[in-house]
Amino acid sequence: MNYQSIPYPNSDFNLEEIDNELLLYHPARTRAVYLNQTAALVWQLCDNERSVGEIVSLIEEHYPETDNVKDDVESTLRQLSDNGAIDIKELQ
Amino acid sequence: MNPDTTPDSPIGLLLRRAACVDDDEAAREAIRQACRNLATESNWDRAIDQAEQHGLAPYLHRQITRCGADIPTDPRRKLQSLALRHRDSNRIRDQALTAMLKALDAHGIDVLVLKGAALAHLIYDPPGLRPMSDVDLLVAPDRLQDAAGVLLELGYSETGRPPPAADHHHLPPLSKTAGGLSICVEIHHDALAPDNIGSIRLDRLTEPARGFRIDGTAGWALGHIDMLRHLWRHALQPRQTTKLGSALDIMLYASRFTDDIDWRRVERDFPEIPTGLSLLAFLVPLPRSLSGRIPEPVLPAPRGVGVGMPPLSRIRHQRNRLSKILNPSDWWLRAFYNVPPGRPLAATRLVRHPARVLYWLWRRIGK
Repeated sequence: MNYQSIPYPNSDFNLEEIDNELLLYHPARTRAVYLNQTAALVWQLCDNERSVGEIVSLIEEHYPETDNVKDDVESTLRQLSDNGAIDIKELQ
Repeated sequence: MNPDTTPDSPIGLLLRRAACVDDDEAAREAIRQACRNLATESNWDRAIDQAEQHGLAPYLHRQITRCGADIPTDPRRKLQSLALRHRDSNRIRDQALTAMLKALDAHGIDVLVLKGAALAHLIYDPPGLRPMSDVDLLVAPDRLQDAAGVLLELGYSETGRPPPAADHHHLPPLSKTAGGLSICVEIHHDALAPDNIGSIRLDRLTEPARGFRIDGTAGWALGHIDMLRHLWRHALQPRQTTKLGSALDIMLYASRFTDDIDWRRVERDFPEIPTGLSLLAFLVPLPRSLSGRIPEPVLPAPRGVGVGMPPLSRIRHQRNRLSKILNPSDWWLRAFYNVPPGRPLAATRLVRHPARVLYWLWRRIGK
């Protein structure tokens, strides 16, 4: 994954908490994307400006005890992209 | 009949117990037990499908969450998704409804909000617990076309569905798309269909309309007695099985407003309502608040609890069609014709009901 890319969140998706679970929910679709705490944090850090690399750095800095941050972030971004929740654009 | 829809099947039992007004430990344990009885995921898939058809999916989700039942992850997430979808759909419909109400008011057209669009705000907390399909409005017969004109100005258009019969109780539905959702509106001059017994019209209400609010916008709903009449008759309209969501509506409403309802007048002028609630208690739990207000259910339960009468429009597609129409369940006959348990049913089954079927057929063929 290109760490200079910027993830653009789809504004139709909302982060909801229901029954102690976090999910990304699109009103017009029948499926929701369930997120663990790290994935929810990654989603919230997608703000049309931060690059993938900046997101990884932020999480590593604030959660130094967390292992495999890069793998988790990449995996989450792929999951979000596959479900249409984000669009990852390469910087020109 | 679909085995999943029988009241005593594991799925039927879960849905009936979930359609409960009272929230106490006994009710919660009954739901937990029903959840344990479902056992497999395929059962849960069918249960959720049935809950959706009965208009109960969000309420079932709330009940299961509240009672702490342990259910498999996939079905739990499906219920969560359904609950969220209905919540959001309701919000979009509410926005459309408030725009309609403001526009109709600006044109001086009195309107009552019927069924789910009103009930969601009157008796469900949060309103998203009550799934809605169409928006139903009641206006005076001489303002029907004016009301339709107002909606056309708001961007609604005819749906293209075949127009109903000339004596139908509402105009052809109008619809438009908002927020990705198709909003369908039926403008009624009578809250009850002509196949039903009785009539509820704006110029012949039993009691004054009651005000309520939809996100701050004032709306009007039927008074208590007319609301009970409407909910009861709507629950009995011809369909294969009585919708549990309809049964829950009437139990919730009667319970919520039990101290405000003029039960003496109900018993005197509309005895089919207390009889009906007593019969409904064989299908969904009777709220404690209604004990003493209505007759205690008389055992044994009538044959065919919750089994309805198929609509005439669908009867040509079913085998034994004449039998199903002319021989509905004891439960439905007692409910529709107000024959309390303990009273003979023979005259109703052999004379009154066939006469009504002939009338229904004449309405469709003879006109």
